[in-house]
Amino acid sequence: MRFALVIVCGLTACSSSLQSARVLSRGKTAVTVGASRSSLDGREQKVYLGSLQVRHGVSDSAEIGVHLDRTPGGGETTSVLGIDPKFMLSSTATSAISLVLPVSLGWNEQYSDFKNPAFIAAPTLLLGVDVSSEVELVLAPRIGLARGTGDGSLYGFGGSLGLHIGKRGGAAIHPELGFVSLRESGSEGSATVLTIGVGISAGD
Amino acid sequence: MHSKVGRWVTLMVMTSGGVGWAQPAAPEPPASVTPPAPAVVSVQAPAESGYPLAYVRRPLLLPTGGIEGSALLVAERLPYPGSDPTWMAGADARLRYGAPQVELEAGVVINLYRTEPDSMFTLPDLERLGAVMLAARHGFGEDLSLGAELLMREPAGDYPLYGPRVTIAHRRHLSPWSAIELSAKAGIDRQSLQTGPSEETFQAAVLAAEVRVQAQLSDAFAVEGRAAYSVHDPFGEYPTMIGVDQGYAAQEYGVRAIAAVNRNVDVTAGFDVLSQQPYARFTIGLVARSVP
Repeated sequence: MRFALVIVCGLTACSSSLQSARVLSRGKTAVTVGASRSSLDGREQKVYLGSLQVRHGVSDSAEIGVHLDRTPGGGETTSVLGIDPKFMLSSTATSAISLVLPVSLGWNEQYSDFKNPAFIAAPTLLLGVDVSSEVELVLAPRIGLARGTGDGSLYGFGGSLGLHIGKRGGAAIHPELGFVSLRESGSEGSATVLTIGVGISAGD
Repeated sequence: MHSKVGRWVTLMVMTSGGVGWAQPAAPEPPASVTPPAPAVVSVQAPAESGYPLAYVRRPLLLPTGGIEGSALLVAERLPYPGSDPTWMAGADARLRYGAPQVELEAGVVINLYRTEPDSMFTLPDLERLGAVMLAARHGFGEDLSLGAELLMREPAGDYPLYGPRVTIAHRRHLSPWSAIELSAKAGIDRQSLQTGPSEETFQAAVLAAEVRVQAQLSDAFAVEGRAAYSVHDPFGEYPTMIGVDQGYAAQEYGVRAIAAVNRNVDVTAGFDVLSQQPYARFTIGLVARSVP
């Protein structure tokens, strides 16, 4: 079973949370930079991915975000660009549940040659519980769907477990572990992508 | 191929402005079974005088009369398909001085060590002097600077590369505990290379932009993530950099932690990812300064 790198990175990018389960207050903005390493089925080959996210609170219970994920280096690059609408479903003093609906476009580029476009969606539930005054544990189960021109459709499910550390003035660090199990439509094969990442956030 | 990679490594070290290692902070165990209510944390910055202890509240440039030295130990892991990775180690030393109206900076990268992978490729000798950097910057207030840099890559080697740049940097404080720093550079890479029996000089434009996200997690401990994007040789003038005769875009990402021992000493550690294959750089460093 072979997957285009754009699919793997796309679902990996959409599977990374690097955020709190709470939504930003109306008018607040947060910028996050992150880096992750993914491995496919435990193979020796690993793939790095970098992420830049900007999110903005549009109401007391919703925020909108954009993300750009690109593999580092020059020459041959995989990119994923998308939007991340996020809706608060429930919130208490010590916990929150929200739904994120990332919709992304992925592609490969080699110098000025763009190829392998893919549509990627990964609805994600964010379940956050405060374990201390400045640490939130975030569990994020998700399903994913990727449709590319060259590899047909893939779907998958997975999740991530991360921490949102720091609650002072929008400053936070997000270490995170995640996995996505990928399956190809019409095929019995599957593959698992394991990811470890960390993000840094600054906000007002 | 490896030689070119190694040269890029050096340039990226020089252009990254220092990097660091993020140690994801382990969460403290909950004090009780019942999770505590979220604390109401003040967003007011603590009042302080003199050079700030908190990284995110420091000015972009050193105050007049200030001097700062930094030393980074750098380890890089370069993947080799079908072979063991190559490890390289080096040192990045810098000196900043706050002269009246302008900040001056000089830096040098020394390559110290490289493993020899079990590979069919013959690697060139390690170039000890990896790079030299000179810079001058003028500040407009505490959060905006304009300047110029000159990078010299492998200046003692057979084919040194010279990279003059004009630079602009701006730090935007989002709160007393967080900030973003945006910077851009524009310039050229100029290098003479052997092309057949003769030597030819190539020149290529370089445009680069970087965003640094800075989070102050406690009074003395900050973390910073950076994403750097660049366009090299958009006009296809430089045929040898990575074996193709057209421009390309590149990016790298990094995370580092900055622990302030006091107002004059920081300890930093971090990592950067430089290629989608597991090509990474790890750093640990010490920064010492004297500010009037």
